[in-house]
Amino acid sequence: MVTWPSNLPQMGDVLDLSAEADETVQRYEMSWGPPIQRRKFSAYYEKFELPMLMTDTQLQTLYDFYDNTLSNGSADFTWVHPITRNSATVRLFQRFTYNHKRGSLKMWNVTLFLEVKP
Amino acid sequence: MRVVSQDALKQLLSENIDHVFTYALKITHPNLNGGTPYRIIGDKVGYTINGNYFEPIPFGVDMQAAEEDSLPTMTISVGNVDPDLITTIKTQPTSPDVETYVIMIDTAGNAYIELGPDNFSVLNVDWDDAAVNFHLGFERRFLQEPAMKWAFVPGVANGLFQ
Repeated sequence: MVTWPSNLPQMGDVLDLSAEADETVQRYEMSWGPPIQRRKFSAYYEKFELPMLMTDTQLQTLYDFYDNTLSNGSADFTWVHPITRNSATVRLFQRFTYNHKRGSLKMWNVTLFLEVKP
Repeated sequence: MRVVSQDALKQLLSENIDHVFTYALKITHPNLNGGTPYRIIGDKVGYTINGNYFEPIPFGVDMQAAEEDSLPTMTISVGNVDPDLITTIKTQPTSPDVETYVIMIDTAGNAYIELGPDNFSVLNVDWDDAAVNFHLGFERRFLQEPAMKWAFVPGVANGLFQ
């Protein structure tokens, strides 16, 4: 499995992040007595939105990695979990977005949409 | 009557059910996958159960309520993700055999067969742009066959025919 390119910003360079995870518990309200909760799945997928700052060259590398290495983002790759920093199998569930960093030349605000697989 | 294991019964009666109950299927057809069965489980990760690996595949199962004088049926729905799926189904001369299981996964990540295998055949398939529905049942509708065991033949009452 391919790995996240070493010349791109690493997880430690993430400026900010937001996260959400699959619902894994089903809750039943009972007519009498306490509600019942049960596990629906034994594992879950997590989604992260990761803003990063990239140079022109790094953005070009990301284009190549996403379009060619990952076949338009469809393939898995190995990186680290954004919180635990353990090795994780991940994929990009949506194409990255970017805009020019105001007041700087050749720098880009890039946002990755990352899914960590269980 | 179904025998439910002590562990499963304890879970079913609990307020906090920390074991996962899910379905698994073994789909066998000579023309699919070179005759090797597909084994799939309705969870986010795969499990090895009795030495066989079950792939995690998203699918939905709808079990019909048990009714007197009717055979059990079941509907399995999978996402209609690829046009080839319908083509593959339409070109098969016979229907695949499907074994269904109810799987219990404990908190340590061990998966057990709680119920099954129950043997079904795919009787009918319908689809729309979102899902493909496989209707499972029994090919041999034994409830509608003559009850030969109870036919009155000379062998049943020898004295009358001597």
